Amino acid sequence: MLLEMRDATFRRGGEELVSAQNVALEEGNRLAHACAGNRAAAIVAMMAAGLVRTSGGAVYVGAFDPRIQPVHVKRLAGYVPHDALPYEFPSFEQYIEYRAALWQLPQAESVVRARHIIAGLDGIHESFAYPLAGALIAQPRLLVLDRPQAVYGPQIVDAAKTCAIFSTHGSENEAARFSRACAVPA
Amino acid sequence: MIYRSVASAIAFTRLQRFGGQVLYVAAAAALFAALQMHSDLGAHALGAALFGSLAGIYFALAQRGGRMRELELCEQAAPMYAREVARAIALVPSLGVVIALAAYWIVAGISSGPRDLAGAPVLLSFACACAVSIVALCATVRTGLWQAVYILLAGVVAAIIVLLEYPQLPAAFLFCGIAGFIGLRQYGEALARWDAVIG
Repeated sequence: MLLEMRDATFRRGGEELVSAQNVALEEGNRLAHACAGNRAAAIVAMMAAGLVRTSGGAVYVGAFDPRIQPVHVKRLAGYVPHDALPYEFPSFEQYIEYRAALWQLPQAESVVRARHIIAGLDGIHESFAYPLAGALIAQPRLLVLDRPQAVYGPQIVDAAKTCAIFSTHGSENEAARFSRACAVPA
Repeated sequence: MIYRSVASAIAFTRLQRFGGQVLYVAAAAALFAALQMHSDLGAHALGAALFGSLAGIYFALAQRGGRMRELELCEQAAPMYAREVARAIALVPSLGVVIALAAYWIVAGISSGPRDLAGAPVLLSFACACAVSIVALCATVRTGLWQAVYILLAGVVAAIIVLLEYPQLPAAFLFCGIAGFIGLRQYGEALARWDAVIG
């Protein structure tokens, strides 16, 4: 099992922002997961990528517990946020060099790989394509997408190749639409 | 740009992001030094330490939220330990205050004459501002009352260093080192527990 959530919840200040989530995703598979609203979808995606610790229940990514081994989890998962726009970087190359430095990857080689990925993401807006290419340069085993647009589904599947895809959505409808676009069961 | 290390990537990118603000604060520091042109070294040292501390608190608080959100998410998603990220982020306000205080002392040196300056108070103003900015960073990973407490603590650290300066210069340097070290440890540990969820 690559990603497993067992009754994973997230609370803050006594308020339950994410109710119990149960997810099971095998290596190489794809899953569009519907959550109760956009905020819950954003938090569940962060939980799957090891950015946020669960308040209750458990999350395992490649058998690693993000509460104990967050660095191991982050090596396996590539996270693409919904609202982070890399507009502030002077160029795409500089954005990729920055990400490569953080992931301790060879920077020049990463730029070449990212250009190759971007070439396959024709038609996707750069505010989504750049972070997606940035996440894929580290060759993660699990790609975590926070509320991706359904229209980009086929290109995402093509770019991710054999990498497992876990996407979170604010409603059942959005999850179903993304699943249809990727031709995977919701 | 080829980054030589994770720390340089984080620090340079964040500095680039608010480079304009560093320049404004450096210009304000230079103006402040020019206004103090008839003061003695003691007044300059006090002014530089307090101005640098305020600038350090401002630079530290600017490290979270707003335009830094996208960088925060990248740093949080990267396979790094919190203490590595903490050390890299601590470089940013420290470099900011070093630039601002360099502007201050250059103008003070020109207006008062370089012979009126001494090395130890100049170095202490840099050390004081860096220690205060590192303590203030702890406020960025806390909310509500605890955030206010850490900002206040940063101010108290600055006041203690300034009070120690005249009777005990080595003690003031030692206090800067201890406050900076404990502040950095605290920041790293708080960053490890911090979650990226807004609101």
